[in-house]
Formats: sequence, C-alpha cells, structure tokens
Amino acid sequence: MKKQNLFFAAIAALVFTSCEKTEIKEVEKIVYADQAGALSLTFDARYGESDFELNKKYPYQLVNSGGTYDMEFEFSRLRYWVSNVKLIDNDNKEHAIADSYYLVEETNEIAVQHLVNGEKYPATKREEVIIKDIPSGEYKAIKFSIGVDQKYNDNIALTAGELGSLNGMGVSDGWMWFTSYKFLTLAGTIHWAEGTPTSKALSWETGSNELFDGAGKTVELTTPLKIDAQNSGKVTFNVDVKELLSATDLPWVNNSISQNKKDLMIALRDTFLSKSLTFKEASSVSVEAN
Amino acid sequence: MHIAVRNRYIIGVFAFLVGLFVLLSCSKDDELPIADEEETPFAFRQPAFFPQAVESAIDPKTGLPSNPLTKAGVELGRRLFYDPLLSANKQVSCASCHHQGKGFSDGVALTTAGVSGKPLERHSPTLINLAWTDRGFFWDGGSTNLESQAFGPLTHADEMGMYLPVLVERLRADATYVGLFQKAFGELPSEHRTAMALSQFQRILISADAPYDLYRRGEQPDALSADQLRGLNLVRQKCSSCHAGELFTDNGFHNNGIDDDFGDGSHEGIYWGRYRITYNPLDLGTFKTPTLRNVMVSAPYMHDGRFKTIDEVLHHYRFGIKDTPVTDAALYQNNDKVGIPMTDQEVEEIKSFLHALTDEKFLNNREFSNPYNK
Ligand code: HEC
Ligand code: HEC
Repeated sequence: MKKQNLFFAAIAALVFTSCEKTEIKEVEKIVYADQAGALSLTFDARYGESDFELNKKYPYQLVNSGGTYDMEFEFSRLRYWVSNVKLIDNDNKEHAIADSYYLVEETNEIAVQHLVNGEKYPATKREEVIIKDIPSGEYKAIKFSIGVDQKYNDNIALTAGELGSLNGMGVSDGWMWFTSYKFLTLAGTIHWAEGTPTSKALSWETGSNELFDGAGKTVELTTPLKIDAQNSGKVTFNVDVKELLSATDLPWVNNSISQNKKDLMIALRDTFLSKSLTFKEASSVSVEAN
Repeated sequence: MHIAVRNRYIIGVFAFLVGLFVLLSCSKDDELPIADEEETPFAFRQPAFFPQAVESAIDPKTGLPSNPLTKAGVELGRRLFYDPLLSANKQVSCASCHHQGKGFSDGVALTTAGVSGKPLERHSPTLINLAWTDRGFFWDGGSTNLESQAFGPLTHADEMGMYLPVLVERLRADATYVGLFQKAFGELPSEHRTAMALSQFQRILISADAPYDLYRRGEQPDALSADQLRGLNLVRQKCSSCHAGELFTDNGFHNNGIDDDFGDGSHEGIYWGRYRITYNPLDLGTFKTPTLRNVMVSAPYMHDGRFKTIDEVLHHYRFGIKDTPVTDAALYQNNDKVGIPMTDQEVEEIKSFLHALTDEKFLNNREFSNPYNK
C-alpha cells in the first residue's frame, strides 16, 4: 500500500512539475507547512505587569519636573512592521531571511472614512510571526528592524513578504504617509481628570527613511536555538506599552507625535527598541517526523 | 493475486487519466500566446534633445526596473485610466479629472468631480512627459514615483474613494480584466499591478510634436513666426531657470512668489507647499514647476488654479511677485529687486511662443484616448 501511495504521489508530482511553475509553489507550501525548520517569533504586548488589552483604562503616574500626575491611558491601536530578520549562528555568520516583512498589530475595528460603501477593517490581533524554511543551524542571536527600508518604503507598488498597500488596509486607513509606510503607531485616548479638556486623543507614529537607520535591534539568546529538519525554534519578546509611554515626559502636550516632530519620533523609536521591546525566552522544539 | 491485479488496473487507469490531464493542461498553455505578449516591450519613444527618461524603480529582488513597459501593460493601463469601475461609486475614473484635450488637466480651479462631490484642495495638474519626472509627483512631490502615486487618487475619500480590497474583488470578477492582467503580468488582478499598469500608460503620454519641436528638430524650420522666436528667447532668458530645457520644467520645487503667508497649516497644508513633506523651512510655499507644454489649453493655473488666464500669470511675474524670505532668487530679475521685467510687447511675444508649445498630435492622439469610445 505504501509503495502504491508513493507511486501516485510521484505521478502527481510529475503532473505539477510538467506545467506551470506557480503550481509547484502550491505543492511545496502544503508539504512543508508548520513543520520542522520553522521559527516562531511572538511579540507579547503587555502593560507593565498585566496583559495589554485595547479599550481598557490603564493607570499611569507621570512624574516629571513639574510634579506628579495621575493619568489614565486607553488604547485603540498598536501596530508596527518587523522587518529584515537575520539569524546569527555560533560562528557569527548572519543569515538574512528573504522578504521578511511582518505586520504585528492589535487594532480595533476601523470604519473606513469613505462612507460610500461603509467598509470596515476588522478588529485584528496578531502577535506571532512564523518563518518557514530556516536554514539548518544553531543560532545564538537574532536581529531585526522596526519599520521598512528605503527600497520598499519609497515604492508601495513593490511587494515582498507582507508588504503592500492592502495590508493593515494600507493607504485607506492612514497607515501610510503620503506614499510610504508608517513604522510604528500607538493610538488611543489620554484621560486626565485635572486637564482641560479631561481627555485627549493619543496618536504616536514613527516612519521615514531617515528613521530607519537606527531602527534595528539585536537580541542575544540565552541558549542557542537549534533549527533543522527535526527542530523548530520559538522566541518570545515582551512589548511593554507602559514603557513606551516614557518616550516623552510631557505626553499630555505631546499627545500627537508624527513626521513634523522628528526628535520625538526618534525618542519614540528608541524607547520602543530599548525599553519596550525586550527578550523573554527562547527554545527549540523537536517536531515529530511522521 | 486478485488484489494485485485490481491495484494494477487502478494504477493503469489513474496513470492514463493523469497522462491525459498533463497533455490537455500543457497543450492548452501552449496555445495561449500569454508568455509572448507579456514579453513584448513597448517601443518607448525617446524624443531627440530630451534628457534620458527615468526607468521605474529597481526591484530589489531582481535588480532590474520593477515596471518595464510592455504592450499589454500599456493597453491595460489605458483601460484602467478610463474605467469608472475603479471608483467607489463606479462613476469616477482618472479621466474625470485628467482630460486629454486639456493636456490631461481639467479646466477648473478645484474640481468637484470626485466621488464625494467635495472640492479638492488642489488643482488637477497636466499629465505630460511624466516619464521624465525624477523628483517626485504631486504639487509638493509627496510621492516618490508614479506607481506609488496612483494609490493617492484611488483611495482618497474625495477622489475615487476606493477600498483597495474591493478594487481587487471587482477586477477579479471581471473576465476581461482577468485576461488582460494575465496578459500583462501573468497574474490575477491586484492593487499593485493596477498601479503599475496605470503608470505604464502614463509614461507613454509624451508631448514632443508641438510647432516648437518641429522647429527645434529642424523638421520644419519655419514652424515658428518671428514673434514666437523672440518669445522663445525671452522664455529662455527669463523663465528657464525653472521652466527649463526641452521639458520646460526642471521638475524642481520653487516658491514663485504667489503668497506671503505660510503659517496656516490647514487644507492639507496647502500654504506650506513642499514644507509639508520635508519640514524644511526653506521649502515653505514651494511647489513643483509645471511644464509649459500645452499650457495654452490647460488653464486655470498654479497649484490652486488661482489664475484663470495666461495674462494673469504673466501679470503676476511682472508686477505681483511677493518678496518673502523664501521667494526663489531667480525671481529677482529687476536689478536685484523682486519681479521679472517685461514690456507689453514682450508679454505678447511670450504668449505667442507659448502657443507654439501646443501639441495637437498629443492632444488628439488616439492611443491616449478613451478606449471605450471606439
Ligand atoms: C477627482 C479628481 C481626480 C481624479 C479622479 C484623479 N486625479 Fe490625478 N490629480 C488630481 C489632483 C487634484 C492632483 C494634484 C494633487 C496634488 O498635487 O496634491 C492630481 C495629481 C495627479 C498626478 C501627479 C502629476 C504630477 O506631475 O505630479 C498624477 C500622475 C495623477 N494625478 C494621476 C491620476 C491617476 C492615475 C488617476 C486614476 C487612478 C487620477 N489621477 C485620478 C485630481 C484627480
Ligand atoms: C523661480 C522659478 C520660476 C520662474 C523663474 C518662473 N516660473 Fe513659472 N512657475 C514656477 C512654479 C514653481 C510654478 C507653480 C507654482 C504653483 O503652483 O503655485 C509656476 C507656474 C507657472 C505657470 C502655471 C502652469 C500651470 O500649469 O499651472 C505658468 C504658465 C508659468 N509658471 C509661466 C512662467 C513664465 C512665462 C515665466 C517667465 C516669465 C516663469 N513662469 C518663470 C516657477 C517659476
């Protein structure tokens, strides 16, 4: 029976290989999906000690030169591009993952402004990125950037990985500046009982080619990750939004950070990379070969 | 053995069916001239004396231009350009605001032809010789390339108001488009291929057959009158630091002195000009130099269409330029004082020359016109 199955498979393979290339790709996907040789990256959003949730008020005590202020932050969106993933092996050789562009997000449903047909971008939560076909090896560190490098940032008609104007609804949703990508956004509402008004919209964004330089992060893994035909790897990062709020000590004044405030954008980028996004754990998982 | 025989029989039938499938599926492919047409490059015209045209951006994966012109791509782009299917309410096409007979401008200061019926914040520019535009599209250069630019009008709530996933859905539901995208790109319709096809069509909108060109290339030495020749010299003298060369634009950004207050950031930063993109204070109130080609059919003028006639424009350069810290140095032609001195007669000669930039062949070229009106 086994042999016979093989025979069918061989013929089927022949059918696919003899015609269009695109079909071969389909077959490959099915065979290798979710098996060994994969790397999973999880970006676990948190708010201090608690889990990060949208539409929930979190207390935030602001201490700056002016005094101590009790505020609350409520979020509607956290979204960023993870790109240019590279694995570093025990010999310090870098292995770049081709087309590694991933959109990590937690967003409320967004009604598209164009009322004509009232389309909505569904509420989305995506924290895990799975990268397949990792070259076999032992890796002691991982590198990536938050944002999109210039060659793609300058031309949204090019596609690679998850890049493209459809993802995150792209242009329709203000997820673009003119025609380039935003790298990181945090949006929501700041509540402050003593403020006038007592709440303000929070809209923090980074982007621009200039900011991509310096948007990289290297994470040393405590024990090397083994990824090969029997093993897949799993790395988890914490993304602490409370830490991100420390990008400015005047959040009430700087409730909007965007292209016209370059210094604050840089502070936001750097705070995200150095304080908010931290390594949690990594492990290799052996995958049963069936 | 009984079972073995049955198995062999099944295998035989399976193999036969598979073989048949291989034959059918592959021979069918062979009959389709898809691969051929996809490859057929469009014979791009590089007019004499023009600078080298700009290629589409390099595709990082191949190291080659990402959007080379092909016959099938250009033809698809032309259909898309004229098709209102690309708008939310199926009533607005690119051509609703870009009319061929007006150099692909639209004849009004601020159009209300978009899906919302609300006036736009800026005037519809001409679409002429875009294959040479190398420093950004839009009045403020906000888009670095033509491909990316297309997403602007497609998704803008007051232009075509399109939700891109719906655009893709519509195109994939249309058998003609499925065939045309296959022919042009070997793929199903997608939003980024739509942008690429539109760009291919727009790159062939070349205007290089005005009387000026016939004169310039020596094809018709008497194409320009004596007045027009004097006008040409005046334009070269007084205007060509910005309206430069054969393109009659340097594709650069200048403040040509039409405003003196740039503090107001409302209306999508219209008073800011390119500052809105660069946040460089020297770019306050600067806009992309429009070409002077076909300028006599593309009124009204400037980024907000404020001047209704060419006379108003020339009057501005003669008497109305505002002296501000960001007014372009090239406009201080009056013994270092602001203004471009012109006599009444010189104004007439310049106007006369500008008529010699009207390219009837371009304005009436069937290859640029609506393919649905055959
Ligand atoms: C509702 C009117 C409207 C529609 C529809 C429209 N445009 Fe435009 N177009 C404009 C306006 C206004 C501008 C100037 C915008 C700016 O500079 O901010 C413009 C600018 C452009 C430019 C920039 C030209 C340059 O030299 O910088 C191009 C290219 C263009 N449009 C192509 C298109 C294409 C392709 C479509 C269809 C997908 C389209 N337009 C649909 C009004 C329109
Ligand atoms: C300092 C650079 C500069 C010089 C010199 C200059 N222009 Fe301009 N011109 C521009 C810019 C920039 C614009 C667009 C401004 C805007 O949209 O607000 C423009 C717009 C125009 C327009 C409107 C075109 C359209 O499609 O809207 C005409 C016509 C024009 N100029 C003619 C001339 C003539 C004729 C001269 C010489 C007498 C001249 N310009 C000198 C920079 C210049």
